Amino acid sequence: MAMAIEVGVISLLYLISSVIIALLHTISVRERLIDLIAATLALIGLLLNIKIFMYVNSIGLLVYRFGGFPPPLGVIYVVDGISCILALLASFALLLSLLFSIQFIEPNVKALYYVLAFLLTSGVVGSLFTGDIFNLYVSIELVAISSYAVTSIHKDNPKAIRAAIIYGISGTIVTSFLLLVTFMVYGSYGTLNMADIALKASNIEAEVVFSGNVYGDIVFISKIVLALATWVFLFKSGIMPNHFWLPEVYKVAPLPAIAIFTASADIIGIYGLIRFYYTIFGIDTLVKDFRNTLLILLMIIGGMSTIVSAAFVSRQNSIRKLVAYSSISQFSLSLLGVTIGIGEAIGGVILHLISNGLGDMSIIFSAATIKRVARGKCSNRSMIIIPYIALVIGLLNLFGIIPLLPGFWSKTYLAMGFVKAGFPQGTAIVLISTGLCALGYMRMIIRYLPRASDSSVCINNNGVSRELVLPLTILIILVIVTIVLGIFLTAHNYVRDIFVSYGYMVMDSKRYIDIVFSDS
Amino acid sequence: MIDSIVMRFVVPMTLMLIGNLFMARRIIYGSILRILSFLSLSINLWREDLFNSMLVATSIVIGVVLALYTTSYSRSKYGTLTLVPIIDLLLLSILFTFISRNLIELVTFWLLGELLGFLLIAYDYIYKGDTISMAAAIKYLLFSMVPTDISLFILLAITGLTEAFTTPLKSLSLFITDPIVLILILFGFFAKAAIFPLHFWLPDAHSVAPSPASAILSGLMVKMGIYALYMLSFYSIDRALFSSIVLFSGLLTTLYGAMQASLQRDIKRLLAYSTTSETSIIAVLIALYVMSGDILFIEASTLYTVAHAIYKVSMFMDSGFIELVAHERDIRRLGYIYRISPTESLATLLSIMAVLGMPPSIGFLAKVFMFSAISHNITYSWIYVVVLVIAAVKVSLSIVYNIIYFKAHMDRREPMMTRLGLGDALQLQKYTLMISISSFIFTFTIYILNCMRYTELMLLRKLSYLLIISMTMFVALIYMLYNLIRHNIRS
Amino acid sequence: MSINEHDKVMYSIINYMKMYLVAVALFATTMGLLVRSYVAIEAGFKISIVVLFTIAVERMIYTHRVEIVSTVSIVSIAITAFYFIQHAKDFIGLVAYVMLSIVFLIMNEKNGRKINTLLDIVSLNIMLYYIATSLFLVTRDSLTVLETLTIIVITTLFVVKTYCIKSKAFYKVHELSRYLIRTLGTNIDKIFNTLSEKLLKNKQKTEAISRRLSNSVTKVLQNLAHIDIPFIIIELKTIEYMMTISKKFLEFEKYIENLLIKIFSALERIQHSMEHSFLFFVFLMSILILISMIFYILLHI
Repeated sequence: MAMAIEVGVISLLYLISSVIIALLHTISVRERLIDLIAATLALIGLLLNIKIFMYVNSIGLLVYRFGGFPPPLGVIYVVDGISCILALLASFALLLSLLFSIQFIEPNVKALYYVLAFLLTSGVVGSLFTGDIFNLYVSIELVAISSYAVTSIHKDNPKAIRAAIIYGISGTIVTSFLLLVTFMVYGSYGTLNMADIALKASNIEAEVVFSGNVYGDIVFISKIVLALATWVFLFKSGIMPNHFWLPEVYKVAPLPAIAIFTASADIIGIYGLIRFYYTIFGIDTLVKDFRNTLLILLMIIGGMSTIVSAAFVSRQNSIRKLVAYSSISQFSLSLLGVTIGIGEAIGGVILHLISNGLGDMSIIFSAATIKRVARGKCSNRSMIIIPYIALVIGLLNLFGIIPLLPGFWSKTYLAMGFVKAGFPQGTAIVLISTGLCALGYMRMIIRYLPRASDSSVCINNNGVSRELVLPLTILIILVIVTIVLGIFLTAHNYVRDIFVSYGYMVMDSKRYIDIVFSDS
Repeated sequence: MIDSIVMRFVVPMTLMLIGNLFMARRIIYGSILRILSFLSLSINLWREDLFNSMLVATSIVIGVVLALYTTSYSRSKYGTLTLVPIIDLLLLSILFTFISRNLIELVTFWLLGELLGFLLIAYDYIYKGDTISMAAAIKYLLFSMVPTDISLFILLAITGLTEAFTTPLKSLSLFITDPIVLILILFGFFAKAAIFPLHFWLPDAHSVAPSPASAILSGLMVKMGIYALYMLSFYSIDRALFSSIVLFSGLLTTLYGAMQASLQRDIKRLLAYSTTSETSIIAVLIALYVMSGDILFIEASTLYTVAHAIYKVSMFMDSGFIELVAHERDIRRLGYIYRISPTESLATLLSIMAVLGMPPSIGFLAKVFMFSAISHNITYSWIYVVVLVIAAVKVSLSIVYNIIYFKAHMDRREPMMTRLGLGDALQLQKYTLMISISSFIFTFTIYILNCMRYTELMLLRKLSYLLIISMTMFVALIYMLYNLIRHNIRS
Repeated sequence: MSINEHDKVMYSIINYMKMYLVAVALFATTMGLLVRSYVAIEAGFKISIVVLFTIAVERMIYTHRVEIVSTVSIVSIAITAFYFIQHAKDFIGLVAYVMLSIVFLIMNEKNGRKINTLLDIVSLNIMLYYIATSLFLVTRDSLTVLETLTIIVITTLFVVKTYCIKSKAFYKVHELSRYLIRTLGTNIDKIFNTLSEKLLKNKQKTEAISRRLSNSVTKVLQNLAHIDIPFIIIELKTIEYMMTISKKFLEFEKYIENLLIKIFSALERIQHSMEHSFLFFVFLMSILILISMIFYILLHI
């Protein structure tokens, strides 16, 4: 399939970009040129991702074999509906973050930030696309290491170093559990390929070319694997009680980095849980009872985590901590959606991750712009209205009660999932946490309200100064994307059905296995 | 053509936005445009459902009067006109909720209205940093917004999205079989209509909001909860469970609210408590309809809703006037308004008498219908006896608290001249008078509508001669009163 | 405009309204009796309740919480009894009628000492009019002798008590009521006619008898008027109870708020310690040890 070469290229593209930037920086090329090259490379990545997205939407499931080797001998990339849309979100976040960091990161660390951002996104895209457990571990490790480095990018801030240490040490320990998982799976199942594991989990007698039969008693091992993997992914997405690193990191990381964290790095956890619970150890496998027990446990953890962190959100006064706890709350809500087991709910989860990413990015960028405008020259002050509108739209999107914004639809689908599963009390949990979060959001809206006194003192308001053009453009793009997505979701049935179909596609592990093992 | 989104939503919204933009330069053009935007919604009046049409008509009338009132109020109290667009938007969103044809429109505008309500309750906090307002707004968000959101999302989830977009509201095929779901939905709408157990947010919220906002919140927004309960009666629900829960909570809140209202000394808290009481009796009437199937109950609840909405709006407008003129909200220190402005006292007196039952007002019709409905069915079950007794106690308590409220107007005290803030505020009295009179004109309109289109309101036909005679005599009365005041003002 | 002018304006406004209400009420009940429509009579009754309100506004009667008792009990009993009379069986209707009469006697006793003008008499006695109409409703079936007698006695007492306050007014009202009742042509007509003719025949004797009767009835009523003392006590207790409920509720809210703040501070402290100490380290280490134990077991199965 000639068209599928983008799938393999994209991760490599981001890796190469980071190397190019590092090289250019050591040659001490001009700062503006590096900015331009970085932005161009990110834009190319975004375009590639758009192409992959449209292609995968037309054919359903895409398989790319590295080197042409058939699975499970070689590593494959399996691009699902949810993989491609989350990868699209990650590359979009990367582009906006790079554009934003042109003016909002100190020049001496900017190139370093570019390198790390590209590495991180390469890892994210790799882990989203991969169909192989060891490759998943490698990509997650790449994401993790880049995150540790980005956290401590302001080396002279002792809090940053401390946050990086906390995140780094606990993250390494937890991620190495994933390596342990890989070992255990290889030792028992004899393979590292997700489809292969899924096949053998559902049919213990199956024999696959290149990997043979299972070895020994795999039920016990599968239970341990599932439990460990759950623990790892809970840490990665910052669900309570594994959330302790997240507020610290969000307090000290540079603002564009936080945007990437919420939109691409921290969604790996939820994505990993979806893969493990629906594709690999699906509904009808040998660990059925244990899986159900774990799902119930996850539902309880998710419920408590979302309400407690929402309560924290309602008391926050600074944007960084608000975004941190709000992300924890929204990710826990996504976890709740994952545990229900209905297709609409999973579609809602994906939409929720997307709207959370867009909303958090709007909030962070607009808050930073407002602060800069408020400190700046007199002629800029009347321009404060555009970032404020972006802030309000971002916060309302996260609040999720206006049907013209995507946040509403994700909650609707979560509610539909709960009602369909016969558990309407779940809707109450969703909305209680939303309400508590809303207190914090409303407080922010009121706090950043532009006062009339700001622009009345200035005599000459002669338009936008040059340095504000780029941030305002980014904000306008974000607002337009959010509103357009929202309007399409409201007005057109087929856009909503796309997400629902993603949910059902993920739950259908038989189709996954068939397509992976089918072709030549 | 009338059904399209453009005519129903876009045109009024555009007119209102342009009107508000004009308000900065020329107030007259702006006000005309805003009033036009409300009147343009009257194309939605000719529909099959009586409850709906009357709610829309009431909201339009209230909208027109409040649009004018808010301008003067906002300028007198805050010095700017920033309150005006928010109030207009809230009115429009409530109106849009009432005219929405399918579930998704209802949910959209309902949620938008709640958000605007939050902003209005916290308006003093935004404007002056008054933390009591923020506390009241937080209570409103947690105990009224969140439960209502739960109900709406559950309803949306049960209906499914294809039906939510296409099917008209009354013919949704909702099957609520699980009692837990029904209880969750009911509690959500109880939180909106301020019925026990989620009623305690209302006194705080409605007494700290600015007066036009309190008027809309008490007059129209709690009616949205009633409207939702009315809609629920069209679907296949467990009727015994529904009526028993609503009856129990409603009767309890009626008594509690009325008694608390008689004990208050702050005019706005008194009005807020009386809202809980009256809304609960309307909910009780709807529950009795669900229980018995007698259509007289729905007609009674419709008329009572309209009567109470107009009454509450005019009373809150009056309390705004008192607040601006006397800078005082405690009844013990008031008592001299009739000396400052007998027009205002007349308007208040007319509103109170209208809701208590002076013909030919809507309140009179409502009370007659209500008691007729209850007493016709009194032999069927002991529940009706209980409802009759509680309704009687409520009517007597409403006399009491209305008198206590009126003592703020007429208690033979001397005005404290140093504290009066006249001027702009005195313009407000004509709006209060407008709306008091409108409750009488309403009957006339309903009578004509009755003869023309609706097959309901049979009881109205029997009263027609009474209404005609009393209308004539009322016109004479108003003429006499007008002459009296004008003659005395001149001298 | 001077203060007295304002007062006069307001009182005349209220007066006009009262006149209007009384007129409409009379019209409604009359029409109802003529065409035998219960709806009109009910409407008339409702209007009379508003008349009560007007009277109270004029006198600012309910200035103390104590007065809330009389209002609430009297009006509620009145309304309940009235609608009961409409639809209940004979005996219950009679009981309700008796209760209603007693209630209005008591109310007249409380409010009746300041009757000055004709309009006041008419408005206060509008209640009597409705009692009469409810009697009409009660008597739509045939009555027993005992019931007829009771009704006559109570009505006479009522008439005598109320109408004998001022003899001049008596005649005027008598004329008015005679005229009204004559146009109705019911049983009451006969009773009133016979009574009034008998009374007119010997005016002086009538006056003396009526004055004596009135005094004795007044004494009885004054004793009866103390009937509301237990009600007053109940109502005061209820008011106290309501205020303690609201205070308790506020305390409860504050308590919950403090509890929530305590819980959140505790959670924040836990969060803080998890980040700032190496407690989580121990936590992770223990997990690691657990895993290695499992691994060991797996290897040696």
